[in-house]
Amino acid sequence: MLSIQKFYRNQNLISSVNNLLVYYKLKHKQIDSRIEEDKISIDKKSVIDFLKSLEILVESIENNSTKPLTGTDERMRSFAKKFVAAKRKKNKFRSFLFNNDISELEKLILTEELLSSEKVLESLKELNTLLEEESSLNFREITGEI
Amino acid sequence: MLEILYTNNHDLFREIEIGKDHIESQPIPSELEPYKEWLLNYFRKLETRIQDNFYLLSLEEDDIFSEIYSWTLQVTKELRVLNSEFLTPLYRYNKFDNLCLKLLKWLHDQHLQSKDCIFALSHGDFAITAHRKLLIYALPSSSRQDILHLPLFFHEYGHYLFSYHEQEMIELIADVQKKLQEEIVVPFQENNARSQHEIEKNKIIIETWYSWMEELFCDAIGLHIGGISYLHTFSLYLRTNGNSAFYYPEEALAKSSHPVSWLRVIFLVERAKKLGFVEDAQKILIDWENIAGLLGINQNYHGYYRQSYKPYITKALDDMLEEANPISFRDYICNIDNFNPKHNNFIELANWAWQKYFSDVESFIEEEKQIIEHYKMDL
Repeated sequence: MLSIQKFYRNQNLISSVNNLLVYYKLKHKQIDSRIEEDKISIDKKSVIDFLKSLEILVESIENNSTKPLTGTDERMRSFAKKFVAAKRKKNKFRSFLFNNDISELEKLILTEELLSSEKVLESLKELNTLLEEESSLNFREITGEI
Repeated sequence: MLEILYTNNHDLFREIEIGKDHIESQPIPSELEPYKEWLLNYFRKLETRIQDNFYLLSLEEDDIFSEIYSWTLQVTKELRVLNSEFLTPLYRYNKFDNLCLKLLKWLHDQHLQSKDCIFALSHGDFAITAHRKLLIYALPSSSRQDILHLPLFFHEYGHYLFSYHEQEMIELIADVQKKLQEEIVVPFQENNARSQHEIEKNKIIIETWYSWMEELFCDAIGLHIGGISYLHTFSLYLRTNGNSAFYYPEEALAKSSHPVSWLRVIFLVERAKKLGFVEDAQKILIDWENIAGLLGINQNYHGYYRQSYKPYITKALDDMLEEANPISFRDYICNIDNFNPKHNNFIELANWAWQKYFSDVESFIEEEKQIIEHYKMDL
């Protein structure tokens, strides 16, 4: 049960991040992405909400890794631990998100003119990389491997 | 890259069309119509995604290839998950599902939270997959014809109520975890290997209680809805699971999503006694103690559970139950001496079944067959 729930939560989030990436990359080039602005507002909110939940857990792990992560399910706990581990992989995760407080990226996402900046787009791309790693694990748990 | 993405999207598009044709040609009862419609809409949503991918590919913009690849990957994975998890309930349908389908529709209709839920049945051990308003219940094939097993659906429905009230549930569980932390974490510890091991173990215990609380909550829901029928079913179904129903080694506890069944029985028995089922509950507790004695097992939860945790766990479960506000067996049992299938009161059915089973097994088996036959014809 948990695998399917986790799988869909990740899928929705990956889709939101993809929408933001495509929308702002093409907007920058003045090309119509055919993604509606209302949809972009919803996607922004989903990403910000997720980052806020992640931020609390990441701070807790970084301040005291032995402190239990309470009031959260296994999916968020596990993702927060992977995120902290990814921050240490400087050669793979180099973007702004992995080198600053998560709240800094939230501020940038909320500032329309900064959203299409390279550091935001790179950060979102790397966030998706981590989400897709997680999604592939859930996917294999559900369907097995050929 | 452009060619790879075009080819895979074309292939996915064909797969979606085939999937839609299969679903549309599948004969099903009216109870499953909303599920069939949901599946078709899901396929249409994927179809739209592929069409969007074709549009984006037509732009030939290299710097969005990675996002198009990601979306192609998403559709691929979702189609595989649809095939492995969501199409089976439609293809496996037969008339023996009718009783369970009626029961679940009835249960959903009794609660405001689930009146508009879409649901289906799948096979496997009792479980539920809840994705927003979509619920897929699994049960073993033989249980479809075993009325004594049906109250386990009440537990599974509890998982849906948990997800529906998730924010409030999280807060209540966080309070329990905070109390556990106050109780088991020593504020100042030495910096040696033994202390580090203790700190790590306590952390795992506290985190493990998140999913344990959900399971104990679902048991409380099962009892609240099904009355004593739930406890009888739970005991019958799990007590022959051998050692693992009574004891987990420490390393298994650390990875567990469910508390040891014996512990669940202890919580259920206490709650059942408060509901007035003193005699039945006590007998079930003794049954479990007898089996544990036979297996030579004593209660040992390696610190994951202590008697001192009980008051605040029970209090939190009471609060969670109040938040979820499920129907109570008390409002549904009028006459369990003679069950009338035409009334479709499934709490009455479950309690009638256990009463009849205890009083006269032979005639229970006979009447059970007639009831199942009635529902087989009735959808």
